[in-house]
Amino acid sequence: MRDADGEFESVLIDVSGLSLPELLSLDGTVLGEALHRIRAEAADPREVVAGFQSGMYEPAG
Amino acid sequence: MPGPPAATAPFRREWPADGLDLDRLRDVGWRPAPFREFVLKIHSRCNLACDHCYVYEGADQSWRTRPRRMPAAVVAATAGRIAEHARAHGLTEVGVVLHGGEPLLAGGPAIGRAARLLRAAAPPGCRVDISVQTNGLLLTEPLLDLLARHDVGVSVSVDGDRAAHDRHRRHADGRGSHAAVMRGLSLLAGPYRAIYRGLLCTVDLANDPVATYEALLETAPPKVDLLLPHGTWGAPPPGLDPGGTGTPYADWLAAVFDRWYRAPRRETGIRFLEEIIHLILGGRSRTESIGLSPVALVVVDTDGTLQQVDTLKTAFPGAPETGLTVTDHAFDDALVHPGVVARQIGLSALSAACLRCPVRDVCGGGYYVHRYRPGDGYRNPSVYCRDLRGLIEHVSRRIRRDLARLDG
Repeated sequence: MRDADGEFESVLIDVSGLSLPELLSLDGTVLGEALHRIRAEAADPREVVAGFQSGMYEPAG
Repeated sequence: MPGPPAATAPFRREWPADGLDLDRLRDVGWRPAPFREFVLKIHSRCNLACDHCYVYEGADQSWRTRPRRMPAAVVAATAGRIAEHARAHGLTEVGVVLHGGEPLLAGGPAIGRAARLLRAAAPPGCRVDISVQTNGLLLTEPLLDLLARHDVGVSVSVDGDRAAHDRHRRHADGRGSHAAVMRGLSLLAGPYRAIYRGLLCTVDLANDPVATYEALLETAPPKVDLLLPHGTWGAPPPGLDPGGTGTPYADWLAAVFDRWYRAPRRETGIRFLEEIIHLILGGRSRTESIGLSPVALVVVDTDGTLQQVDTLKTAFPGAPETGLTVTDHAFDDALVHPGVVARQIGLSALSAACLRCPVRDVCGGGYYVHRYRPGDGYRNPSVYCRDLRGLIEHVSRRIRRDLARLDG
């Protein structure tokens, strides 16, 4: 993914500056759910581990 | 933490068995993440003969010599070892996935006994989540009653609509299984919805991506996942030319993404795509399919042998083995097996090409088995490299555009 100058543009997106009204405007959408999840994870310092792809276990915490 | 396990598993002069320096990792402060998920192969045979199954159709054919059922003594030993591991690491929750073959062939009583035993053995304060991954053929009311009574979650393998599903998921005599699966699934999604976890769907380029996604929505699953068919650089996945320029899997998944993402209300979760979004936003992945999070799962086969993960059967005979057994070894012993360590060290496991790649923090090298190249092992880009990059960039562009509109 290159920008206008032909440089590689990062695929990572910083959403720390989003306001609450902006978040609320996306409630119920795929992106809204994703933004809630990223905020919840940022508030929880526990280690995140990767699980089995051929099953559907999701930790409760 | 003990030293490396005795090497009774097949040794190949390939990374990580050859070349991973555990002492150096320890010297720089690396410590293994304890296992949080235990995959129990409670039955090694299946009542279907799917031609894309990694257990029966992969390079490893060890299922032929394993016991059909996990003996009660192995279940009891596993429950004890999980409890030992949870206690040693202060775990407040572990997940147990009952798997196969077809795990429901073990029968309701055996599953009920296993669930009771696993929970009874766990230390106080440690919740044991139990789920079963099934092809759905044996989901009857009495069995679902039993699973609900034991609080066993159920997820089902479905590949889309009837034509898509029956392309691969057939009985040994060639009959399709879609109608029977949907009968069980409608029960699960109806009166037993509380234990309905979701659907696993293997991607097939022959199926229309949007029609496949919409067929999966039929029973309103809480979550689905789209799994890439397994392959390696030595045996590439169907329809993929690693030396070419096309991105057929990225194109397929991007079509699903666009349909799913555009819905005014989220219709279900798609785990693989949700994890990609989460990683793009700076989060950490919860699935081994993508990302750099330490993989914290181990497999116990019907004979009690401990395996890294069963999908490695795709790579070569014996690839999943650790040389350890649940009766003779603690799970901590498996934590220092090179194959387990390799999946817990993040960037340190990636190839030089991956380290230079601008999407590496999202992709994480892709699924481990897809990196395998005969002769040098798993320190390679994924055989899906171009597809993963194409899909990640597609998702990122779309999200960036929508967030820019918010700023607006």
